[in-house]
Amino acid sequence: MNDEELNRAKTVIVAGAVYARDSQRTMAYSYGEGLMTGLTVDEIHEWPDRVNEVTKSDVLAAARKFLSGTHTVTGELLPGDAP
Amino acid sequence: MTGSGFMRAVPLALVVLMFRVLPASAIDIERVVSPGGIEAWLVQEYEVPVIVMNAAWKGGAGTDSPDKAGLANMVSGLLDEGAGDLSSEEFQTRIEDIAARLSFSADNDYFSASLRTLADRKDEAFRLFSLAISEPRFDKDAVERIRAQIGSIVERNRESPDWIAANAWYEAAFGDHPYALANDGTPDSIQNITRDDLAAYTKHVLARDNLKIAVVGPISAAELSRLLDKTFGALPLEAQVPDIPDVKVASGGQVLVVIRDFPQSTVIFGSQGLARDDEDFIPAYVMNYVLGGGSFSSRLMEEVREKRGLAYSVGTSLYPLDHAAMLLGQVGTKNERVGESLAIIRHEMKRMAEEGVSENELKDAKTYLTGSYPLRFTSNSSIANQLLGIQLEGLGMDYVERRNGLIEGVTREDVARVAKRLLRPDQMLVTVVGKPNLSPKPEGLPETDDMAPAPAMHPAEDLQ
Repeated sequence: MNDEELNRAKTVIVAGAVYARDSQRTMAYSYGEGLMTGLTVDEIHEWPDRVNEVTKSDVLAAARKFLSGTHTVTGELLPGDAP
Repeated sequence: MTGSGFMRAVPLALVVLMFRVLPASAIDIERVVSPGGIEAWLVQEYEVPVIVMNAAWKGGAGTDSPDKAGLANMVSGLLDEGAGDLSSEEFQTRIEDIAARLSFSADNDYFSASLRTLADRKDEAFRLFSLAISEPRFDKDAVERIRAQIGSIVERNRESPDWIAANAWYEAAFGDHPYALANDGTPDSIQNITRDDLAAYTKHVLARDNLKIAVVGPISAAELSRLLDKTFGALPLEAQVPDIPDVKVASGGQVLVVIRDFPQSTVIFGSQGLARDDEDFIPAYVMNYVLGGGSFSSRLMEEVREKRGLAYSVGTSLYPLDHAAMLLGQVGTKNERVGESLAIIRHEMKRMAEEGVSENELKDAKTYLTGSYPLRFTSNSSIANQLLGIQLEGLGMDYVERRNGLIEGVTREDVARVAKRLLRPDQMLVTVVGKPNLSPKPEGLPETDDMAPAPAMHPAEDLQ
């Protein structure tokens, strides 16, 4: 990925967190989801900063780890007779 | 004063209490008029760095001609598909680069726009918004792509029982009035729309004298004033929008059936409602809450669902447009029990027209309606929606402060009067999609041949 793509991704992800704060409902979801998955309140607050710290090599490392092709699941939707 | 910031910071119970006691302090609306004469209502709100601007122009889908129905809707799908020197892809990329959210839509009376932007990207966001409304390109590839997209939505709608029932209702209620037309058009009409039509609509409708604007977020009146001229200044001074005549709902007790081989029937019922500026509108709103507006506490829900288990949901609402007003209801139930459900609904309407509501029902309705009003102001977007709606309905800048008092002032006599005026169960226009048994008695009826005793006035072919 190039710098432009990385920056756009960061902008969109961080903006999503900012927009979420505009609604009480989505703000409650943000905290609920974070706390349920084991984050602390501080970690939830730091999340936009952490996103901004991600480098190209971080992304590459994550891509190599998870997009390796050994643990994927594929579903296929095929045309057929109606049940 | 920052109303919704206040709500975010303080525990909910306290907020509700304080809103009830001090509604006037909840929200501080400013009228901003730019040097160029563009007016907007502003609520300055510094809790979250998000600015929301909602705008609406008078002249929505109700201005479409029948052979080009869907024009306003198609324009709404195309304004963010290329403008000024930016192609569709370039425009979308710019929007994404600044993480702005831009949307357009058209309803019967208005063409609407909504922009949400991060406060520190507002200049670019407002610039792109301005380009979209002032210099849309309507490039051929974008037009054909959106036409195909709308075409598939229009085709899909025509398989949906809810859509078919509502469309049949509107056609019967409004005849050759533009409100009878589906806002997104027909498979044929959207093929007739040319690039010139799209450009002409934009030029005629997106003007300055038919425009209302609401802005909420961390922005000063001076900054907004500057942005208003830059954003809307290039629009024509005067709109050229055809007059839409007023129309009454043509309800005379008809029951129209669209025969479809579905196990359940979808039913729309309704009649003439009240205009938003009718002095009985607020009493009617309270009445409707008791009849079928309040989800689990309404009489219809109690009688149709809770006591008899006939339907998952049943409800009614007041639906005022600029040139027509409806009282509309919907219920979905097994084919065999459509007639029974309608009989119960008619009975409840008759009972309310004759007896009004009880003291307790009135009290509960007021508690809910006034207590839930602050929940319409819990985000910058929802505050902007309220500000715009209040402007479009001409309710006045102090409406937010007055509104709960209007509800509190409704008496049982008011409700009884308006119930008598509005509820004419024998005059309702009813549309049913399915294979309904319209007899009020479900038992002992043959299962097939006599299932649809009413004339099938809307055979399926007519709607395809």
